Amino acid sequence: MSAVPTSRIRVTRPSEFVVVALLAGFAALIFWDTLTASEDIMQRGPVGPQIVPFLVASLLLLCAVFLAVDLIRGGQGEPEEGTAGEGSNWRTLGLIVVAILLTAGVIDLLGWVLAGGLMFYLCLYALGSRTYIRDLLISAVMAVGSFYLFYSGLRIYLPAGILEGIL
Amino acid sequence: MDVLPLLADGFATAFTPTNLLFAAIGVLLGTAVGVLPGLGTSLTVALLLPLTFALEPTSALIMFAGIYYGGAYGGSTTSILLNTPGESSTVVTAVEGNRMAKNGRASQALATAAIGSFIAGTIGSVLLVALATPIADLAVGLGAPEYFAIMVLAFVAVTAVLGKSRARGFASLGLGLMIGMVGLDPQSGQQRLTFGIPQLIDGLDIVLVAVAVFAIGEALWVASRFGRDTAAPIPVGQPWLSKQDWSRSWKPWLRGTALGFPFGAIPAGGAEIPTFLSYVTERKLSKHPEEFGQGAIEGVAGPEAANNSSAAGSITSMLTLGLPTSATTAVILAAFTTYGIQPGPQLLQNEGNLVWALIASLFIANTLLVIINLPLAPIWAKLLLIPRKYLYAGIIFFAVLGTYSVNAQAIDLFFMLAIGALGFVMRKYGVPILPLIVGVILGPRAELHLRRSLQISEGDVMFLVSSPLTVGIYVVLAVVILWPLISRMIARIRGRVPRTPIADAVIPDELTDPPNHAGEEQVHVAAGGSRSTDSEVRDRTHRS
Repeated sequence: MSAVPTSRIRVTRPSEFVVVALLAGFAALIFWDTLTASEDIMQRGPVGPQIVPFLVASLLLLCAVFLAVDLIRGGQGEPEEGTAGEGSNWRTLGLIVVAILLTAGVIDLLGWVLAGGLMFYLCLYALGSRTYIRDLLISAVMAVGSFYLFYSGLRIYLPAGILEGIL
Repeated sequence: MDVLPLLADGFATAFTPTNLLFAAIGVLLGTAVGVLPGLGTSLTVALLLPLTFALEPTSALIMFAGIYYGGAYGGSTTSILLNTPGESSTVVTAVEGNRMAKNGRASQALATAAIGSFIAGTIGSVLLVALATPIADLAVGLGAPEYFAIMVLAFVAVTAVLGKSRARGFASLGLGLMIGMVGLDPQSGQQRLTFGIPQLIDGLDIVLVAVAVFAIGEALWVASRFGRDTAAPIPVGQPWLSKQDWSRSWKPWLRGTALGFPFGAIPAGGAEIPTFLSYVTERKLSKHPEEFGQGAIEGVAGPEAANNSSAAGSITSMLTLGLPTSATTAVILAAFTTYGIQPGPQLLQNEGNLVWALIASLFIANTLLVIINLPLAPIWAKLLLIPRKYLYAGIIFFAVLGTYSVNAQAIDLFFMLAIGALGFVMRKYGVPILPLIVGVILGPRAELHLRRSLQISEGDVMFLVSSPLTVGIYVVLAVVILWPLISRMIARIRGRVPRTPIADAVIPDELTDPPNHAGEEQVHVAAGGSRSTDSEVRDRTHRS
């Protein structure tokens, strides 16, 4: 929105084109999905199930174009709530993503208590905690406590996994 | 329709032991997350959304409203004692409040914040009572075209006015509309964006999306910049106010309330702008302008009142119009939809009991809050001693737990991580979050009303603008969208440099800008919060 003095190309942060790529990619995905959908669906009224997807995809595409122009002119999105000066901590981020993926992979087999406890422990490690024994205890309390709170207290199903019969 | 008997019924419902318990849990949790920097009320309500599968709608919504009000109270504690705003809406409070604390007047700052919040919250809730029925009566005559127009208004207002960049705002809205589209089209039975994955046919659950965007997105964002723990808070005694403090506080409380409510109620407001306006107003009207920047009590009383009454205003438009004007009300709206309750102008008619109990609970929550906040402020400050690593590990833990409990299927965790990664990218590159969640919640219903309208009119698009209300809404929309153009034209006529009033008003954002240098002054780094040095905040505020 800010007025840019010149049309000179001046990209401040090249990595921000990730957002442009995402928007354009999603737009293309919606177009593709809508165009390849089977046509023999019962249609009620003049507006079928394709119109709104086309509108949304066009909106995304339009935003991608405007954003790209903005970036080329030196525009920059302001990161939420001021960047702390520590710089990027990709290791912590990566470890947490791995911990969540691991949990998703093993939760049906191991059950919530083991999978969730393991995840909590890994997240603590990723966030820089090195008090291994204390963290292990806290993780165990969190995992078992949340299981009983949800399963017995709130009657929300969680898998017991291989601990079936013990819990 | 007489309001008082309805409100009395509401109190009867809200005063049952169960609902009182949930109100108490809500305000305690709300205060806690308000105190803790980096934990917002929207994130907290999102994490608690899975409880909607287990709790009565009334109890759950009473708890969520308590969290919202509590967050507005708790944020001030951190601002005052730590100079680290617990919430973006208490950035301004930190300016005078922390200065007061450094002068040994932390107790008075906390007291004027708590009492001001109580007064503002109560007046705001009274306004809600007064406005609820008239607005709901207006809504009776609305048809599909009007509903569609109101939703488009919500989309555009939340997107175009709130953020600084429209391209980023509309991009966020588009992403939300896309996520809302996934699954079976209810009108035709067509599968959209399911890619042959059977778990996607029912669509992405709103709980999953909210948890992913608010909790996982935020946790990943914080993790990507994780550093040291924050500074220690200033110790504090029992909050109290002297006679002079009272006489200096009560006018700012009322003025702050008057500023906050309307800004909270409109889709472009939020709490940041009115708190800032209140600060500026008090500085202008004060008999002690020289104290501003040195710890003026008016500078705490006004903004804190504005903050709380804007929460009440935001709840008003959520309950009466179904418009989420803040991130937290957007998530509460999501809770309505998980119960199959259609938020919107017809809400008061269809769910009168629930709405009146909720309104009554706001009065209860406010009273509870002032009770727990005045004597317990020193204890709340102790929460700041919890290491951040436990907080963020806990957020991820409960996010995964909540998401999994929706359908008990592991694949949901992959969807959660994918949408959370999207939330991370959006935070990193300054794409606002609110339009996305509004798009997810309102998108499917907007489409329904659009198609229903065109079905009634047999394809005649003019039917969408066939009533005065719709025409009015679209005119407002046109002005909002074309505003930069209009203001530039006005400026050119006057021969001045173009500047939009909105851009002028959004100065609180500037307050949160990272400083260019970290000098000798103590720099507080919040968990995902803002960072600023004392004098810089003051200087910037004076400059504007």
